Amino acid sequence: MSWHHDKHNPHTIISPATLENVTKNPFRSDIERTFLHIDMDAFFASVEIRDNPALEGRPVAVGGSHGNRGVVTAANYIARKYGLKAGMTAVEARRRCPHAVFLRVRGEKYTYVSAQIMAALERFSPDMRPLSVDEASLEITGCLKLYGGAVRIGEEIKQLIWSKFRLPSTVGIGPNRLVAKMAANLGKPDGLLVIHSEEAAEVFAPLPVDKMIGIGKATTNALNGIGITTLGQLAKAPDRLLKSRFGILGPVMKKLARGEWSGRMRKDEDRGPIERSIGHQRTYGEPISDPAALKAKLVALAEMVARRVRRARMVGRVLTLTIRYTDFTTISHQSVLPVITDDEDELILHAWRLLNEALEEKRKVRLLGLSLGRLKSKEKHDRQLDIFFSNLKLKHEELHNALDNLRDRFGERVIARAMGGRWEPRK
Amino acid sequence: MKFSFNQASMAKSLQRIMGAVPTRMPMQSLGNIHFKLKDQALEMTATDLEITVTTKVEVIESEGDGSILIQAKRFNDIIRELPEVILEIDVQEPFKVTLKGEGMGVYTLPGGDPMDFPELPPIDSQLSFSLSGDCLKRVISKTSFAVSHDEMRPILTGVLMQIRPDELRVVATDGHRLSRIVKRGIDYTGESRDIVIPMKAFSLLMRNLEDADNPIIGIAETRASFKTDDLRLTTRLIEGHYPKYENVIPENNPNKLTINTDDMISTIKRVSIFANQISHQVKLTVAADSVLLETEDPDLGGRGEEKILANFEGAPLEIAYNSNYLMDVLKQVETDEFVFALNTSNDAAVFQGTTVDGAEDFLILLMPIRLK
Repeated sequence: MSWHHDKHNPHTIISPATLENVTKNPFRSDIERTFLHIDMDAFFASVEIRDNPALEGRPVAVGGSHGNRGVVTAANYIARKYGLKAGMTAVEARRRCPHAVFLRVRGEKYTYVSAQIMAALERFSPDMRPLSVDEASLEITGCLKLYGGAVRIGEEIKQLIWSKFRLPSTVGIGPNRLVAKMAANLGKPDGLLVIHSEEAAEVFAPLPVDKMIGIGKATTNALNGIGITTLGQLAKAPDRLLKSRFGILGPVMKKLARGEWSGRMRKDEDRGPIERSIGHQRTYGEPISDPAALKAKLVALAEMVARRVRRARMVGRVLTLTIRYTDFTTISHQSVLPVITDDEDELILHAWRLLNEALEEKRKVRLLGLSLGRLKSKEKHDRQLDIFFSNLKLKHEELHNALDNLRDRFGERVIARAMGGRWEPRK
Repeated sequence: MKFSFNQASMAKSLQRIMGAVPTRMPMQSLGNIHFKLKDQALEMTATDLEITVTTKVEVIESEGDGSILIQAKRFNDIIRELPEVILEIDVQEPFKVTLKGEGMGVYTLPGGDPMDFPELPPIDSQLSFSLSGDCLKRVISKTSFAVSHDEMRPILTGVLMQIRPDELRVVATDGHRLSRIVKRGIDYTGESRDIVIPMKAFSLLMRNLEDADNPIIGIAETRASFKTDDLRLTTRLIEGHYPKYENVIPENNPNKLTINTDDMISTIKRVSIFANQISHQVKLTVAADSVLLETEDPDLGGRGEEKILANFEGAPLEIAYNSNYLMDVLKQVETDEFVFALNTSNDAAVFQGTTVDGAEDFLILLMPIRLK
């Protein structure tokens, strides 16, 4: 079976050219860089369909399998034709597409597949950053020659993921991480789209403003309120108007609309907002109020966050806990950790403290989120030894490395904390 | 009430207490100085609720007893700008303060009700002892560099004082380095007690103590006070358990490294210019008769390298430190040569001061940066 990328995808033809012409010119004011963004198509649903061929050709939703409770966490493209999408309640999804197959969420399975995919991606570039379970961003500036161009790298990655994992993905390529991600969004599904720096603004112009990463519902409404509905209009809007309405974020949004990633690529700027924190959140089909059950969920989240932080070779200092109750009120509590860390035990300890601080008694929790921010390179920040903690820290580090290794090789469920944070028995 | 004073002596007294006036005020009254005139004697007090400092002010003439609050910043600003003349403060009811000087203008300051000023009860010392100003200043300056600034571990933002019969041990650590000074022959025979003093209290004391002072240290349940003839500083103690530092001091680091102190200081000053701006790492390659110091900043480019003479008993060793921390240690060295006792690349180095008649023990422990 071969893969194809332009069958469903008119965007591919926007720019079939490679980026070599741009990157070869050494006399540019800024060195042109090339980034690749890979996004798995309907990841959870695709994994389920892969493992059960009987589902092929049918509308499939992951989540919402407990009758009318819970939410859909992923829907394949056939289901999306009926309007199903991630985040929709089970009731709504069933109303729109009663004949869809609703599957139980098997998070540990997706995490396992994800880890394998990320490991495979790592060999394409030394700068591979997993952004979530089904997305990663790679800087490929330095390896263009090795593979014979950006498009080649993209093709090879898609090919590898298809042949090794039998999963469809979309690759976006651009002069910065933002444009690359936008290209991946536009290229979906099963596409490969290149957007050059000089054509980004043109490609973005006809899109509604909410297609831009980082522009959510509230901002969209506010923009619409001042007559801005497309990214093209946003790119041309007067600075003063944007500034008065959105403060310093106004001109930033305008730059984004033009495909500019906060100006010149300086030391930390090109890291972008995405990598300044690594987090994870879970929506629970059945809301939870029992503190012990919440703690178990929190431990699972902390383990995942710590693992991703370690994979990114970072350490972080600021822990943020988000709680959403069943009435959708959402609160966040933050804490500066005593040590800069990538250790889940440290995260668990402080996340638990934050939860106790923040949790209103007897309210049912619908979502928990945990993220570690103010991330810094582990290489630079973690080597100063501590009089009181060094021995313990070195031991923990060995342990976590061993556990990470095990999980990479045999899956997330191969080993778990005795309290049962990650693993839950099947009902 | 009314009193006159010399501008210079008021300026000097203000310097002693301005450090206790909080910059961000949880209570408005804390932005004031509390003036109290009684039997011809004037006292000024400032507090941030943690630390309270009271000082005596020389009065030339006075009339009536009483007390008043005066805005600290404004009062301090005007006193600093005035020339050295005799000044007079006149307080009329209700809380109106006029400041006049010979041949100068008239300044009216809004006063405040002294009832609004938090008056801490006098401390009921369970134990007290006296130390020379010279000795107290020495133990503070030998430890304060190692105090932590990490508010998440509040106990380490203070200085530990372990009071023992005949002995005082003073310790500070931020987890990366630890400094301990032990003074023997202390005039104290009571029970043992461990307290942790906020660094800010010690900074204020350092500024105000004279070598010839003989401060009396009084310790109560949650507070401690330091009293001299014209100054009284009371501070809240930091609560919590100070880490058991005794266990982490290596007893016998086998490998002794001896280097000329000035050589080492000037070399580190030079090579650290090229160190990574975040880790400040300087790598020491220690051989029998020399040490190679190397720094490198891959982010900004550039590297530094210098070799200095040394004497090392032990197998050759590579070890790295934060150059700022290393300088902090070297600043405490009082001899022409210093000795670092080393173990492995991942173990603490120990520096020990020379002791005179066994009256003092001084030790710094420094953790390395792990090499790749």
